[in-house]
Amino acid sequence: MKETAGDTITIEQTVHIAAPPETVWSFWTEPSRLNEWWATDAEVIAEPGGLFRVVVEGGHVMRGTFLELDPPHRLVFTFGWEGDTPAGPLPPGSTRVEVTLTPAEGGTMLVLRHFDVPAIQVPDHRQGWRQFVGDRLAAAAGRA
Amino acid sequence: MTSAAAQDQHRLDAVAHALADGTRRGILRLVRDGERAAGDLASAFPEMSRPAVSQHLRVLHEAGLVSIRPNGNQRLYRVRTEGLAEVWQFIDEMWTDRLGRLKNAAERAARREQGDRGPDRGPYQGPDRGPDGSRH
Repeated sequence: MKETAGDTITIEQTVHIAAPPETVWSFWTEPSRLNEWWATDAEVIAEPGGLFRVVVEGGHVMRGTFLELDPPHRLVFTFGWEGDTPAGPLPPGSTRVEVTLTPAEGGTMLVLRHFDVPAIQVPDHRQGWRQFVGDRLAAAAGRA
Repeated sequence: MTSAAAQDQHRLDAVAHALADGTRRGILRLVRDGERAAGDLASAFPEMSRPAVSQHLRVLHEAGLVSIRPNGNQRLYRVRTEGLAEVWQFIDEMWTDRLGRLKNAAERAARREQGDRGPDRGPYQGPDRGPDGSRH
């Protein structure tokens, strides 16, 4: 599910997990457990302001900072990639992820919201969509 | 001007023309998040005739801003992503993939942890379960 707000969107995903919130929580904060689903290598300092660094397949590195930790209910961290990704740059600190864990149906309802994700980028990463459109419109108006 | 540059200029003119219209920008917003049938798009602009909406779609298509996929007797439109690196799509797919793996890993761990505490209580049977976990 996505919500559009200007040039950025919020990505929201929900998944039910047949495991207690405490177990699901540990998969976000214990490096060895992160390696089971996301990371090939992870560094976690699970405290506000602490480092959250996840090396993924292909060698890309997600680097974030924990903003809020309320075990086992809510986790907020900044999210960005060191260097470019196949889809363009998303520098550390540029987006924010919130994970909430709620007991539900004998397990956990996990809701992930990824805020401030750029909606559209043009191949030239220095320009946003608005810039792209604005330039074209200005060019069109200039010729009118 | 070289022929390639002239082509680029022609394409940019087409893009600028396509984007200069409010209805067409509205259509682009609608098809940005996924495919929409022409009929759907027409009904989003009740004040316009269907042929008028079709004409707008034709302009967007000629400018290379939307793609068309025939599906049965429908034509499905979406934003043309070639050349547009879409970060959100990359992230959306990443989370779908990763949360699926997280679910599997956490459920395996929960089964192991449950196994350590005693016999498997089986699948969830409803909320009417005593504080000790026994079923009523």
